[in-house]
Amino acid sequence: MSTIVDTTTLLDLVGVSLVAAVGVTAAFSLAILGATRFSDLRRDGRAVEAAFFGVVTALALTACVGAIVYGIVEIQTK
Amino acid sequence: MESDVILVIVVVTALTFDFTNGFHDTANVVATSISTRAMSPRLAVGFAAILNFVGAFISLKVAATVAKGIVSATDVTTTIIFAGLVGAIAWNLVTWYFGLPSSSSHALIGGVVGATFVAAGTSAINGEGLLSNVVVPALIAPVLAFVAAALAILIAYRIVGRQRPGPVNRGFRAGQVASGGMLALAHGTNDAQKTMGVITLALIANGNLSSDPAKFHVPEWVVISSAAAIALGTYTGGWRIIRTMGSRIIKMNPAQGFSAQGAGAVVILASSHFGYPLSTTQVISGGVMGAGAARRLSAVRWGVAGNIAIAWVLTLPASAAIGGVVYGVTRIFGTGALGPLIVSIAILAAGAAVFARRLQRGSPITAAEG
Repeated sequence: MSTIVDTTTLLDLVGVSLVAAVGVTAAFSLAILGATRFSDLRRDGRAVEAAFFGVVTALALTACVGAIVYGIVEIQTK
Repeated sequence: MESDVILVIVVVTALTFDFTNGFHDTANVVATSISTRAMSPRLAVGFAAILNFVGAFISLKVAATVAKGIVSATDVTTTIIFAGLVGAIAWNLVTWYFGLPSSSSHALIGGVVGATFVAAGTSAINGEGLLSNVVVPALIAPVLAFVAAALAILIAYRIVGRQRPGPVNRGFRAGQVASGGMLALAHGTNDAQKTMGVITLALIANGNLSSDPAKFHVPEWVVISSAAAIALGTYTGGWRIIRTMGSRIIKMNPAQGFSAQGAGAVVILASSHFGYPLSTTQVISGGVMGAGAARRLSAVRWGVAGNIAIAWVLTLPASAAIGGVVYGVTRIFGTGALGPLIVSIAILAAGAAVFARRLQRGSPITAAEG
């Protein structure tokens, strides 16, 4: 059975897949949340809070772009 | 001369399989984007076709030779590869007709296994390899993608749930362009390489290329023709399957579409990283179901999901049966080129008859309906 199912690799695959799927979606959702709140707060003239959400958006989008670049490198090397 | 004729037939059949692979698997990449209106149908298939083409050039390692570790390599001949390809093409067309997403890779493996079984008997089949490379991954892929997409959509709802739907939907639609693009790139790399591997093996078997592993290389014309065939197939679009994946399993909103595609892309890349072969089709189908079920279990049309699962169970034995029968028929005409030639002509005639009948009955399902 152990030769048919490589348990270690399988557990690694499951763990990485779940963490990365949740992480990427969370990052992109945070980017959307940040952009929406940034737009609303800026319209209301609350510059400091708007800037905070602007930074959140930028960081979250950077994480997403990083994930895409990593994905392309992964495709290239496999 | 005779072996050259078989080689030409195998190359043409491999490119035809590559075309059906792209055609059949378009849905994996574009269905959710079309369903959530992230992209228009024509734009979506055009985008997917370009990225499939580009993806085929990104990596040329041809790591996964067809049915490696599943059938005895010394028993595989060009006629077996031909019969296996016909089995895979036939099963791809049957599942497309019924609008069912099934794995083209499993169909190809099944076809080669069936043909090898008829040619060389059970001793040429590695049952353990079949279990570890096909059966176990087929059980894991949809479940893992289901859970990943379900967790992803729950976290997305948690974060953006209280925001205005307009900007949120626009944001996730934009995200789907990136997640769909990643899927298309990964698909082009993985699946076009299967065809490159088949053609290269046939060239080696025919003596056109060196069998020395140190001198192994894929000729440029093989890369370009494989990339072009899968891209052309993708652009043609298997609209029946796109409709099943995009709207018949669940009615998706952009957040669900992004979660299904994003989780699918992550699972496929992770499986590639760990060298664990998972089917793109099964991953995306599982992701779509997970993104729907997390919101409401009854949102998933479980009858449609059941039909898809039946198609997955049948893929290996059905394509193996067709591959075995095709090999048996070719052997009636001897070991030369006559058998593959007659089978090819018969398939072309049958294809032309079906196409003519379809033209008589009315327009096919197209982008406008997709």
